[in-house]
Amino acid sequence: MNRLKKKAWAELVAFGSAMLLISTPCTLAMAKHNTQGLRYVFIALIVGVPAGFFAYLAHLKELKKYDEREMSILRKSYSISSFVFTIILMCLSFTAFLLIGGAGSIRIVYLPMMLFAGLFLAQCAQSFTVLYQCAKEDDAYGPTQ
Amino acid sequence: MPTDQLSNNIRRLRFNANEMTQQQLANKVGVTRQTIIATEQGRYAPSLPLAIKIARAFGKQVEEVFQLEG
Repeated sequence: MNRLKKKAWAELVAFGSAMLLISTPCTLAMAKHNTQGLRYVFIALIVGVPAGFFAYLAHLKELKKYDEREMSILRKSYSISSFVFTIILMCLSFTAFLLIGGAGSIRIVYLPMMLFAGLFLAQCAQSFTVLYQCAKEDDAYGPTQ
Repeated sequence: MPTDQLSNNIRRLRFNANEMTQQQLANKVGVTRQTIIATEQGRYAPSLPLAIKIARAFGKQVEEVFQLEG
């Protein structure tokens, strides 16, 4: 087994176990206290998973029109936007937890707001990365067609 | 990490091939003109399939078009 495989297996086992330990009691508690909410989670999954799948297929189809250099710029921008999304969501979650949630609860409306704020800023980061890369090329070779 | 630099003779080969334009080469190998410009100037290291396509467009071997420096 090579070191990349070892690393992947170790992380999978560690995070998988941690997630199982944390998510099982949470799911059981949710099922006990909020059966209605759990039903909505399943409905969201039934709607969301196929929608996400088709959006992903459309995204793949769109990517086919770019050549390999453009794809490398896009890959860089996706990795930056994922990083920004993670950081923003982490900051917002901790802010909500430490400040807004001090009273023991936060308004439910903050959750989608946090998600959309993260998505919006991640999209901005992605677009700015592409624009920055293109501007760098324009400086070097003249305006891109 | 190695700091090898990939140099190339694309510009000279284009000139020798009846002054082939960057756009013509781009069309031949199926990429944008900007990719050819970036490759020609050594700013972008093409994938092996693209390097082979570029070499084939001039009827050359890959090593005759691209050289590894460093």
